Amino acid sequence: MSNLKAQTKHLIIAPKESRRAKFWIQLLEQNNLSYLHLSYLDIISDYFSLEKDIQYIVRLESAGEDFETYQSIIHFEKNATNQILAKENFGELSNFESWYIGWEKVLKKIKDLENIFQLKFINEPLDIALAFNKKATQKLLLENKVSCPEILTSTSYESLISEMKAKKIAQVFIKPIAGSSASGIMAFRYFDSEKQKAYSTVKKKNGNFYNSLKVQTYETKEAIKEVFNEIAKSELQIERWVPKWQFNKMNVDFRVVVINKKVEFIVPRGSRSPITNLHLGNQKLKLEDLNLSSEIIEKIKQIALETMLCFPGLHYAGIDVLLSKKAKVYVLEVNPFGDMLLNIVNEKGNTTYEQELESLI
Amino acid sequence: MKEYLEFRDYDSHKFWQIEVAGNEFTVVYGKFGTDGRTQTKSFKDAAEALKEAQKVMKQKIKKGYEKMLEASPTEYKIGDKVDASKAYKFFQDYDAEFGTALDQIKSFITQENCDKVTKIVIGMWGEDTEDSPEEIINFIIENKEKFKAVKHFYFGDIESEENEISWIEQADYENFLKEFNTIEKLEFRGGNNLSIGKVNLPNLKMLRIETGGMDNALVAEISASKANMPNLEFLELWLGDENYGGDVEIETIKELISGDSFPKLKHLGIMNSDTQNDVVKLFENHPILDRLDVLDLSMGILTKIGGESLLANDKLSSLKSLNCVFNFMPDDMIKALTKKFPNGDFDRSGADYDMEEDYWYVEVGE
Repeated sequence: MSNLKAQTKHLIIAPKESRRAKFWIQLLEQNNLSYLHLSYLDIISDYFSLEKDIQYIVRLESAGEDFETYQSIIHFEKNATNQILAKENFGELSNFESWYIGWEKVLKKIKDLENIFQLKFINEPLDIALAFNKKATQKLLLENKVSCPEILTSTSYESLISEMKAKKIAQVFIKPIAGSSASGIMAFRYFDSEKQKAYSTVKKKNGNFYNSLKVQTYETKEAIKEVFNEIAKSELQIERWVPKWQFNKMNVDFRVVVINKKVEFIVPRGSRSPITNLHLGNQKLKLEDLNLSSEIIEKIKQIALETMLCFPGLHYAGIDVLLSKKAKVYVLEVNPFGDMLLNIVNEKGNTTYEQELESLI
Repeated sequence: MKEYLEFRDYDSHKFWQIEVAGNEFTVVYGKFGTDGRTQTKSFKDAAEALKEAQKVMKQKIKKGYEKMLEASPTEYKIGDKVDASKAYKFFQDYDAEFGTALDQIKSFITQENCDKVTKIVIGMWGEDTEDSPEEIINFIIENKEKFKAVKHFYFGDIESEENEISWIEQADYENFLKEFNTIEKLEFRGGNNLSIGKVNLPNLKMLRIETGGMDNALVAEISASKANMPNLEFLELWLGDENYGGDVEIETIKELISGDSFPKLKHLGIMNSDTQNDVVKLFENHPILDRLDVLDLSMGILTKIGGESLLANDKLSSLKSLNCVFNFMPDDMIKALTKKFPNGDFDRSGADYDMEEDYWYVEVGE
């Protein structure tokens, strides 16, 4: 063996066509850094070779936006490789839980490669798995005194109505515990059995339920219960729908990207619907346009940093922060892949990817 | 043209006002509560001054400034001292820590100068969406001496994140309006069980009622009392949608705007209606247009049928402003209307006819 420092190489695990992977690779190439790109399919089918005397700096990327990857993750859980999913069932709600269990298994498998190879994970696979579980994440945050919206524990539509009445909570968000983005989310308001309303990304088509890009509204008990039951096929996370601060008649929340224990980006997101999510064609705003006081911006930064302390294995993440009408802050979600902010740079003029690479050196 | 805009968040609160006179416009701007700074600009003629003024105003709105009829209120916290020059808002947050709207008002009336405040805004009244403002109304009546300076009441300043507009429970304000019969401005949001009864409001200048579904009976009440509101300058009614309890009949609107009542009316909005086309047709060469500056027909289901009526209605040219923002009219019609009525705004503003579901909708119903 030579006494030279071990050779290092970047390893990126992401679907072959992943946009996120392309951004990272482009940056590595600009910096003349060598890399290897493996897909989750490669990992699942053991179709890869790594070298034992190279240290790999590993970046995991979202497994989303790719049908084949989606399919194999579901099959990985079921250990049934031959069942074929129809392509039009991409995004079908009933596969949610299988997908999450499969995804956890894939992450565990990647983590275990550490026993054979020299891997340095930028974001640790097990922390990624934890952040994908909304319930576990919230438990962890609350144990560390980080505010989250109040949780409801019901598992059925009927018990939820009773619980809301008992707790005097008029509106809630219902999510699958392992959802990402706005998948399978329902914002639900209840007045009485005649007056109830749900906003959801879930849409029924030909007897099956899918994620829709347009927010649907449901106004009858039957329709709402049907969607609820569909989402409830996976384990649920139900939380109080805290009214968001409004700007220019838009409901606003904040995507805060923390890199290496520093808040590098705060992107306010405005929406006219209760579901504030960039995928749904809502508006990215500029923090300076909102003219928030430095005290409030500090609160937003602080809660994001406190959140990251609960995930020591995450070098970077996008934290979704809610600001209430009375200036309280809450953490809504921790997104280990929440750093894809297009055309946005920080004070130093760096994109999220540039800032991440810089922080590794 | 004179417009007053405000920008507001937690701590920063700014105003911006523009006034066009001849070939000049004057802007007054600054921190809310101060006199601000004044700047005047001159142009080669009045038309250019107006055009430029509208341009800078649009830029301000893009930055988040909002057109205000007047100053927006301060949220009252229990125990706060009262500044007589401010307007105050009372509302129940989801977080019980801040008390109910009633708790806040009870604290307010123990403060010095509370009886000098001229504008009161009530937001979310209860922790339950089914609560009505009755208790608050009665409390204000019982303590009317503390509210003797109020010229402007707004009941129901409740945002979409807090409740559906169509679910807001209102109340009967007849007794209240008998006690406060010298007020100048009155606003409501939410139409369920809203009633004003028989009123006599000789000083009333502004009446605005925003609903997701308005009762025909309410419009009939206003109509029946119209001779008792001789100073009304601004009237805005959001009729809403049949699916949310709206049942205003076109005949009732016809009666409301008929004859010589509301002699001082300058601004009329009959809007956010699922039968906006019928509303539009009512105004075909209507005599009320002779005394109006502004007609607002926005936010409703205004389609090609309504557009044809607008195109044929020459009297609309005499308005200073015709607002048809949010509509479902085809492109060529919007083009023709824009050409015929330079005083009009026909922006579709996100109204999106759902081809798949064959579905039109009012802008605010839910």
